[in-house]
Amino acid sequence: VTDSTESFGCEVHSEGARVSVVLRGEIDAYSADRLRSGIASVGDVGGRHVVVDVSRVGFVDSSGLSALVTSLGSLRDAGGVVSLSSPTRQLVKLFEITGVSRLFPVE
Amino acid sequence: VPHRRKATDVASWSELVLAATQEGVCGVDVDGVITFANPAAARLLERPLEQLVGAGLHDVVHGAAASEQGVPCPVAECVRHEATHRSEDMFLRPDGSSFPVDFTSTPIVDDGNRVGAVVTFRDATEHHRALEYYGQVVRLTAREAAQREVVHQLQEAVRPPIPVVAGVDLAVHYLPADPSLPTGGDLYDWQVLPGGDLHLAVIDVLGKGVPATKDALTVVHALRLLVLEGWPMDRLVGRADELLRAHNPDLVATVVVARYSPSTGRLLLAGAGHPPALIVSPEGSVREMSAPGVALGWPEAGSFEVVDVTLDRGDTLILYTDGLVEARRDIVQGLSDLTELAARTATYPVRHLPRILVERALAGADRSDDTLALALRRRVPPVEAGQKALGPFEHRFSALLAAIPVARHLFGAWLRHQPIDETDREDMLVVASELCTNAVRAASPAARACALRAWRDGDALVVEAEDDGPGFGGPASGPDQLPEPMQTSGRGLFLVQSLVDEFTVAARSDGGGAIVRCVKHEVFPR
Repeated sequence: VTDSTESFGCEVHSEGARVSVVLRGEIDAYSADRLRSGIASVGDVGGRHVVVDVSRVGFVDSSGLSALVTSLGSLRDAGGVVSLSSPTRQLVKLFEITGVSRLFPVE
Repeated sequence: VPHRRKATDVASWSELVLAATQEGVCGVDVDGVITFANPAAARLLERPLEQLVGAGLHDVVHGAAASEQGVPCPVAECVRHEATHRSEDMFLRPDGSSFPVDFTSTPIVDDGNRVGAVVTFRDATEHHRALEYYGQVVRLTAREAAQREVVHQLQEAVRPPIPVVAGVDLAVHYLPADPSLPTGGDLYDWQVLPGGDLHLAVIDVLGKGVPATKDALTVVHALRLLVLEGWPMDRLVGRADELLRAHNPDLVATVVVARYSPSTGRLLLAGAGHPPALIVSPEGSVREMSAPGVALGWPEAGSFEVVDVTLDRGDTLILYTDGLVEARRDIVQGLSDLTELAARTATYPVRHLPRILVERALAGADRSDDTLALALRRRVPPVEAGQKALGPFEHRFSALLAAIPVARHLFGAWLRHQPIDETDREDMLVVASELCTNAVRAASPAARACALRAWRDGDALVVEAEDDGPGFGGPASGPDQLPEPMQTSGRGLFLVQSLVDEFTVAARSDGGGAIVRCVKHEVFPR
């Protein structure tokens, strides 16, 4: 099992005005629920900067993308300032092809 | 303290009710003479009560002159109706002005004889105004819809359909400066010529809106005609200018014309005042191809030289108009940004590439120009086989979400041993994941109800998933219908269709399930 196929994980670090969420592994229909509950556990994000580190997300498909969009959207709806940090080339491509990058800029 | 009255004091009650009501109420006898009127009637008709009682209702509301004409009117007729009668009418005021009313008359019957009528009316000015406004809105909306339809049809008419050419992926994206006028001075053309070559043109006419589209269309047709007549590339723009100058002396346009031979990859470019074309290799190296010349409408219009290059496998030609590089007001920076963007997106599906280029180039820009991007990619199989292809892949699994990553990992391991491009591996891994997810969602809980298969067919890679359910779920929106950014599901089909060349859903031969099959061509060496 290589890095790109490691199982899904979500770690949350909360420090003052900044919340750091580190995602790793693969996001698909199987891990989508764990992503959603992981993001839901972030807590109060109102007015805080939420940095979602996706540099170690090895694979995302449409089910994973939808879970990611829903989760990031809920953080934003709760008043968080959400940004994605270090997305892989594959994730950027997925965001751009599906037009999700209009809502959550990636570069 | 409110003064209480007995309910039996009927006459007084009626009087109070009539006095309080907002509607005008009059009683008339069989001759149409007003026998009583309430204060609202006096107010609406702008006459004192004493003047009303004893006067003919018709004379009051329509004037004595009108009664002589003998035209049947609801007011004159009110004493002859046998039941309640409603109508709309215009009533006069003493100053000669009139106002619309809703008018109701009810016969008064005493001992079986009609003795008169009760007439009620209310000022319908506001009601009429609302109706009129509503009518205007309806008419305006209809007119706008008609205009939009005309513009849409015009737009469709000026945009040639994508030619299907083996070995070529083509796409275009156009964003007008004015979103409400979806045509402008940027236009493109793509035509398969009798010899099998592809003629491409991108035109940027000075001006905006529909008049600019008309001019751009003139240039498109002139170039197309000259190409079909066999004019050499280096003379195309100059000759077009000669032809157009007589009838369109004010037309100014920059142009880039391309001739592409799908069988050899040879590409000729001729330009006139147009920004450089880009050729992007799959590895992300970008060449700026300037095809210098003088714009149409200028003295000495024409191309200085013809660029002659050959596209390799996976190379992408990008043609565009200056809106794509001038959005941020600095063309040098704009071109540098575009080059960087083109390098990063070198292996994106061509189908979406022009849209992504336009979206990215214009993100956050203060834009006032039409923007067009067109992409052509050479699709041919790889030449050498560095590695021998493996035999077919098959994996059967149960309809469990946990089975999806397992199936994908096994397929990924198989893919890694195939002599194919990394981009194709990456894309087909996503495709397989989508197909497995769909199969798991569609299948019955039976063990091994799903299967993922893959094999080589000539230069194509075929991936299919089988389930024992009724078929591919989700909305069949197709690859050109971009999902909403906040959509919570339903991107699977869009994504699959974006990444492969063929997508089919078939019933299993025993009728007990579905097979979803995806094919991507030019993946394996021939």
